[in-house]
Amino acid sequence: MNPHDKQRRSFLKKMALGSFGMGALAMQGRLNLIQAALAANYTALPGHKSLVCVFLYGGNDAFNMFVPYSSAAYNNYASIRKNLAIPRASLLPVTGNQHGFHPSMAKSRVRYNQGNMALISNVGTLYQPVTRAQILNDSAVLPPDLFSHSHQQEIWQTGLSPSTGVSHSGWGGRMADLLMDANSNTQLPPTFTLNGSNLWQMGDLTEPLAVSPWDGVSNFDYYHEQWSSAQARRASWGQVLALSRNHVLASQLASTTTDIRNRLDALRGAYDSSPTLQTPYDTENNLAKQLHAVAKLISIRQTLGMKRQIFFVAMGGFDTHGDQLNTHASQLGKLDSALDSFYRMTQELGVANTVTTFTASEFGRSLTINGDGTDHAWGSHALVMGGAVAGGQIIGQLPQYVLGGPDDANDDGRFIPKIATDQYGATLAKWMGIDDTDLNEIFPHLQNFTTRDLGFLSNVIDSDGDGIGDQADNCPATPNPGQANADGDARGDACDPDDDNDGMSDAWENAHGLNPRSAADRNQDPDSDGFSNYQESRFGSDPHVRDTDSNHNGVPDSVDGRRGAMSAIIDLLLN
Amino acid sequence: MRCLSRYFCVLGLCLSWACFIPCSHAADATDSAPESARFLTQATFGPTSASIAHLQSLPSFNAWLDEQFAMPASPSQEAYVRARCPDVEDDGACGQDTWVPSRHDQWWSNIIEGQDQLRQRVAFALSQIFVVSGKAPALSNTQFGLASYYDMLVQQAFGNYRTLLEKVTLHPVMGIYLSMVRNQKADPANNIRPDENYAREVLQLFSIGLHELNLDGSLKLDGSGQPIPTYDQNTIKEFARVFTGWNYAGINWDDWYGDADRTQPMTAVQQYHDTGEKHLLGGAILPAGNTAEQDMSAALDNIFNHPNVGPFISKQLIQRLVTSNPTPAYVARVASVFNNNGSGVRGDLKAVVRAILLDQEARSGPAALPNTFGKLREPLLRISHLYRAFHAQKRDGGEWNEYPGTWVYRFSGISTYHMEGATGEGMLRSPSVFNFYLPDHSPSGEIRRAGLVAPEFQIVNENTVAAVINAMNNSIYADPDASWTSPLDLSAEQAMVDSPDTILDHLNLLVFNGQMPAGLRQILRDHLLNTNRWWGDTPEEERRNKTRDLISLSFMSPDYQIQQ
Repeated sequence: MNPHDKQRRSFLKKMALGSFGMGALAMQGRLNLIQAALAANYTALPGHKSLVCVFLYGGNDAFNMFVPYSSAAYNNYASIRKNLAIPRASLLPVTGNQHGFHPSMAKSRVRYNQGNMALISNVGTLYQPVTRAQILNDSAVLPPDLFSHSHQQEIWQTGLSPSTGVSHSGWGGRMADLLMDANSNTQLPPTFTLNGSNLWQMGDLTEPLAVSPWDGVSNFDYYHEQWSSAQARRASWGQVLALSRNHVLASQLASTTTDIRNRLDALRGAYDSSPTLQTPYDTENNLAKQLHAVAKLISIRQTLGMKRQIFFVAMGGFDTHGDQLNTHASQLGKLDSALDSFYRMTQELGVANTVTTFTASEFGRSLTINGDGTDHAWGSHALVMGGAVAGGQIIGQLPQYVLGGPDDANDDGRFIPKIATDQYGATLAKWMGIDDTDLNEIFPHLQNFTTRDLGFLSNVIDSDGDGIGDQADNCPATPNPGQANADGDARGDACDPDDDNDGMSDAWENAHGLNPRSAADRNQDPDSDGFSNYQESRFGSDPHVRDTDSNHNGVPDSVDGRRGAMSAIIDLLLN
Repeated sequence: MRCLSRYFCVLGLCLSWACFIPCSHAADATDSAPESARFLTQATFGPTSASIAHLQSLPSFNAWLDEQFAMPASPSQEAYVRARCPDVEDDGACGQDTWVPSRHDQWWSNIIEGQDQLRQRVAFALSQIFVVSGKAPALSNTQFGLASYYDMLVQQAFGNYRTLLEKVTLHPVMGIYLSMVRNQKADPANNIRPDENYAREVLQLFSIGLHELNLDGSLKLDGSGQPIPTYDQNTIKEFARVFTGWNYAGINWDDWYGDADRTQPMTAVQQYHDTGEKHLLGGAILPAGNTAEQDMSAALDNIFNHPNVGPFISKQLIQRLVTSNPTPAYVARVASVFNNNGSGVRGDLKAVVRAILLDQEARSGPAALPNTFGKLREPLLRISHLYRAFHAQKRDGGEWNEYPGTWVYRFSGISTYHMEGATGEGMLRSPSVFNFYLPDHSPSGEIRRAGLVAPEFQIVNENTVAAVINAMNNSIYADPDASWTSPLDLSAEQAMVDSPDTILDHLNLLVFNGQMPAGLRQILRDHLLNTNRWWGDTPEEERRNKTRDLISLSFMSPDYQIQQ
């Protein structure tokens, strides 16, 4: 029996014995999840997919990250944002010129225009769609504690109604509980965190494995070395951990410690021997360092026996109640640089199409200001990046920047989200391979929304496995991640017989010391015999050996009388 | 002699006249070495042979508490930092180093050597409730200020909660951390509203929490079984208006903040204070026309008198000192003392601490609740226990770019000012105002299935488990003259190790409070008698290595790490 099935069945048994201390609603959700998990089969998921969550702690002021650019819309924005408005002249407009990125995000603008990044607009925590009218007449069903950091982080990361008392699992963890079947490795969870414990990756069956972006995978000094004393200690430690204990905390600590030891051993070997990535990144940028470690872990996925991996990285400093202009610019700059170097690493690894990176933040910020900063609000924008992203567009709609207007929850520019975090998450989860029925279990509120898939992700077919999907690949059947294309025609050099379109085939140019990537040599005549390289290529003569044309018929003497000379002349005339 | 049954006692205290059978209560238990060690585990940074002996020389735990309440506080962190940083730079940074480890050095000195152990332990607990953190960019250079803030917690630890709340609120470091300093009244023409940050967190985290509580810490529920919020967004806005008009002491409102003193309480500037009427908790209305000081005082009174404060604060203090899952009855007993210390005073922290430590649940938890009582010892408390009990040696600060002529504790590769990066916690170094772990964290597995919480498990992961174990083992196995860490003085233990029972009894008391399980003892015994490995070139070396192994395996055992 698959060890996971065994685990799941004993899990069900424990549930039946009522050893859960949870509220009925939570239990119901878990029961459905387990039953659904027994139904769907995740062992046969094809190919590789990795999901990377970049959590921006504090509440990112996305209204200054992505700004209206057309005159009227910009002026309206600036009139509300006052001294916190980003000057129009420094915005970086994107395709369509209706919006622009904050000046610190030049690389993201490139990625967006390239079509590998999209903006998810006005996304936030919702249990069901909410209108301003409902809020005003107190009939809205709202998530609780809307402007509380910890509670909104919890809702973003868990997708559940927060309850005080005992804590919950997160939707990333619930995904991992199912997706772990796709991985042949039974010792490692699909989830890795480069930023410590987080609610998002806490599952019911799985917990994330922490790796240090600087020190890699941990080990236990004095307990792993080869000499007899270390081995003797290790053996005794193992015996200590294996003792049977009735105390709940001590018992769990022992099993947790044992699990940790085993997992670390397995992972350390693979991580330490992974090849060095060539893509440069800013080693002083904490987020970039976390994402570099993510790339390393993706690079060893086959060694680890993993087809599905889920990563968590994070940066703080977004709670810009004060000094917003400086702080936010600095944080966005770090985010931009880190996202860029990571995307390039996925290209280097040939996985740009199968790695999707998304940002999340517990809430947006008020469009109105408090002097030199902004306060907690609600709907915000997020970024999603990857080869599989339908980029260069806004998913959803920007809220109307009208204080007290139809999108405002009150009168100070705290906008009602039009996309729920559940819809955002479900789109990502579906792409990762989660079955449609299971989506309802992972996102209990999803059924309150009509759109379950926001449509910003697709499965990119990549026949030659070079990381460029067939649709965009200039040589779909020949691996060419660099997509070199000297003549800019429809075929990349890897599958183009004449890279520079100079009429001389690459093979012929290579054989005769000419440059297959430059057309400049078409009309050159290195042997000064009056026949250009191109002519010599049609005649099949040698461009470096003087040809004579004693009968002045425009055909080298060596070719005269040879079959095909006439067709060569005709070709010449036609070209 | 102990009470044969709790039921013979009233009000949670075994009083001899109320008992049918003459009984000893917690206060008399100094005749038991293990019970004394266990008490010190809850009330100090770790028992030592000397501290156990001293407690046993007193007639009762109560007498020890009296002694501790009267003890002067250990040296001030601020004084230590000032002595080493005579030049303060423009943004408050220390002139010599911007990431001065000094305040951390003084903290470690105090918790390892200080005689005022209980005061330091309570201050550390308070620092995890009234959180400020040097990790915030705005505070990363504010060494004088952070030292001053912690000193304030130490000074207030045995005072009144109302005073503590005011000192926290007006401390400029808190003003920076939660953006109350220079918060100004609304300016509608410019779409400026008062900053809500402090208003929100003072209610959510420092006083009443999000939902109404019963005295025993359980949630009050409305007619449909839902928890009842203690406040809404409007209340936050009203409190935000209260917290307007406070400035750094000694400079003008428009002066550049770089010149500000981050150690003196903030002062009011009336023209920036919102003087309108304000509606606070429980229907209280502050009249229009109040000064900033009047509004502040009335608002803090309003918060202080909310019935939630007793259970909300008491339960968290119990979790920091004694057990993660106090019974509702335990919480209720302590919260009652918060509400009234017996002499009609509300918020008496001394009385609360006494109630927590002398409660029957603290004193007989392991017997009464053998499978659930207790908590995972925090990383810093495990390190401090090791260092205290086994006489960790300070090293010359000048060697590693710290201050020449000062002697500091070292922790192998972990810098004192970045403890939280490795171990998951550091003094005033929390990742956010929500501390290192949440009071209701319940890790998946048997703990969650049993409906229990275990906050300290929230920072248990591959990195922290390895880092804490490695830091301790690097000290244990360091050569006695090593300077890159603080080696231990194991001479007392080395003298005993030739007799397995002697050393094991000694460690059972000093490390395990007498609770070392039989199975563990057998493993340690067998380990000691293992001849298949090299122990040392000389008998002295052998004794040292045997001692080290026993201490290492002990501190790594789950039975030690879960304090009961």
